[in-house]
Amino acid sequence: MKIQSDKSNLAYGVQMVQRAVSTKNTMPILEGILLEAQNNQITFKATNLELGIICSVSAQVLEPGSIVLPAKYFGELVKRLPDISIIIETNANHSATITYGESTITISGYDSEEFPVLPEITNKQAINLPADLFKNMVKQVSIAISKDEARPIFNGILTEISNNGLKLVATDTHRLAYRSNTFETKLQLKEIIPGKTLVEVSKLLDPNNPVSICFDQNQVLFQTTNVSIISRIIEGQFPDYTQVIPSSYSTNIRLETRAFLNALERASLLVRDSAQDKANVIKISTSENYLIINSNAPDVGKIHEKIPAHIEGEEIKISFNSRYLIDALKVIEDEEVYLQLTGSLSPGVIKPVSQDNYLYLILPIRTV
Amino acid sequence: MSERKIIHVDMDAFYAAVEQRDNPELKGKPVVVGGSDPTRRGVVSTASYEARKFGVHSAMPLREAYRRCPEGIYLPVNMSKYRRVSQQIFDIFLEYTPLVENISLDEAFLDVTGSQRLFGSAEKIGREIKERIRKEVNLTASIGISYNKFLAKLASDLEKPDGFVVIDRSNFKRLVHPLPVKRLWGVGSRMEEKLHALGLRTIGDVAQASPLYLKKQFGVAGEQIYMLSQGIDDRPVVPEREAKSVGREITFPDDVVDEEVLLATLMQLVEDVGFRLRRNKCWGRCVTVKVRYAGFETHTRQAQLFRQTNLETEIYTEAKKLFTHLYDGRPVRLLGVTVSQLTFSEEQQLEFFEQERQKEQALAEVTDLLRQKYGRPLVMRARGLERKE
Repeated sequence: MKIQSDKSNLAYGVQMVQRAVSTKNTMPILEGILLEAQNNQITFKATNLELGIICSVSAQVLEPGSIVLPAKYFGELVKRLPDISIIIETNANHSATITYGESTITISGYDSEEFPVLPEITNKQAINLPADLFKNMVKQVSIAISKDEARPIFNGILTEISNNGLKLVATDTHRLAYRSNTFETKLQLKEIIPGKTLVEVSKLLDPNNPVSICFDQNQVLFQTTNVSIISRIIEGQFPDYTQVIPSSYSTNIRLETRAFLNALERASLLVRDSAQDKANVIKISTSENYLIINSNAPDVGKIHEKIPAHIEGEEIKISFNSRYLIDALKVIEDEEVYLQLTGSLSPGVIKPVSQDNYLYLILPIRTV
Repeated sequence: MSERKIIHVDMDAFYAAVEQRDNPELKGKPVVVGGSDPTRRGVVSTASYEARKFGVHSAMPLREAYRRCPEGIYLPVNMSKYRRVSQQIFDIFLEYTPLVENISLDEAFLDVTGSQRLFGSAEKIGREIKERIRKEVNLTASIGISYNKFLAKLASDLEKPDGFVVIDRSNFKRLVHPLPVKRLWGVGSRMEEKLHALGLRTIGDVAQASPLYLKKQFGVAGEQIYMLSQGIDDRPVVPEREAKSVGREITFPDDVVDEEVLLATLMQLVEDVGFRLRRNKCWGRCVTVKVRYAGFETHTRQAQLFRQTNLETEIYTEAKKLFTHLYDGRPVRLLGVTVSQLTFSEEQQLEFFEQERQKEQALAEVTDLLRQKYGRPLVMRARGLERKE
């Protein structure tokens, strides 16, 4: 293999695939990036066997071929190369020599034949979405993904495609985030995509380009102009989330998102420092036209917040983990939110006032 | 380091007072809680101050109480009610400090050293707590405040009922030294007799004795009572939640080989551990099983759960797995279960998609209530019943 390219193309390709490079030292070759040169482009590939990323950039291919180079050295080197024309040429012993101006560096690599083959997605049925929309959907839902690895289905986002569009749902069993987007499609499926994959995908997507998503057996493929991301999907049955979405409420509170968020952040400052209260418990109650937040950490202090709100229905007293409320308010762009409650032991619902495509359910804390 | 400030709160004739509170007809009358039929076997749990005038006191056989006070009103023990009221009172304490050591349903130590910046002096906190118990729970408490646990407890007893006493360095000698030696922590009737025989009748007498002499007479206990008589007591207020583990083991009267019996016993041990975890509002994440064979050879095995629990079913599932791994068929002398890596929380985050767990929890709450009311497991799992007595 021998190619000639400018520095920025190389750096872009490496940067795109680097997120899929394995950091666990199980197979040394997975710590490398596969470079394939043909048809005037160079394709970078990396995989940790869960997530694979492929990125192609244009280059002058003087001799087609391929090699695997260790990401750690190759990646750092490419970043530091001068901004001139670069030549990469493979040698007989699975090493590559990189020539920049009068200087050269030779790096040992691996035989590209040994690099795992990334699964081919043959299914051509895909949905297409503007990348910025998809990124926003993922951002709003991923806050509820469980960090506990004991139950894998909760480490993913349920991706439900039906004739009325796409729904994303995530839950850690304490809260649940739901986001929908309506469009027409003939596809019908329900899969759980690992949360980590979606977070990576969001980072890699160029907001100005559309993204296409398609599923095939145990894999999902995200494609945008020059990057493809393949990930395994999580096996298992996601519980019926529709069951837990309340159909009514007894107290409806409308208030300013920002004011609510600021008050919660102040209230949880106190609890966070108190070793006794790891759960960041705050008490919420209503009084005429105010939402009251109380939080008490005996050895630190106490706080009493009063936020103007429109309140309809029953008076209420309820305790929540403030962190769960804060997470939701941070991803809602609306100036106002509804907080809808039904007694102190049923899930509360947070949703933006002007849109009905987002729902965030949060279970209260019971004092035992 | 600033001087410690310890509050001892002791409810006045607690069970009887709760009954009098809830039934105005009982006010001013001799009420004895312990059993509704004083001609039957049983002991007095609590006697109201009116009943105490007749010489009725707690731990006295009911029949004896009845002999002394036939006009008394005898009531059964309503544990779940007292527990509820107790919880209400303890919730007040926790607003002032997390360092609450509950001795029993009606008695607790509070370390308020660090709370003073926020809530004012220990004396102010004590007054406030006393007032809130009166207003919010409608009961009276005796409060003792001092710079250690021993003196705080003495103080709460000095002006009982409805007392409020502060012992500080300036009044310590005047208030404490005239008290009889049996008020020293650790002095039982035997030691009291011996102290009397040595001519030591008051705490002041002990304070003037030679510590070496006391040590020679009573060993470590002698040193201890000397320290206490000087008003020295370093014991910290330990919230029960800080316990490291909750466990239970049983030594069989005869070695057991029947695996069914062993598993049934295991279930019973687990039920007890689960009950105690829940009572202390603890959740644990590590389960340990201990097996001692006839030859005293002991094996333990432990495993981590994927989430914390205090439910029998979840503990038992793990304990059974561990036991099955450990057990090699030899006769077993001792079997034990421990749950560790505890976290204490009065708050429980509710969960979606956990109907099974919620059912278990509801079941546990009911069996706990029954157990508290009747003092023994009244309802048990079928597994536990299999054990042949």
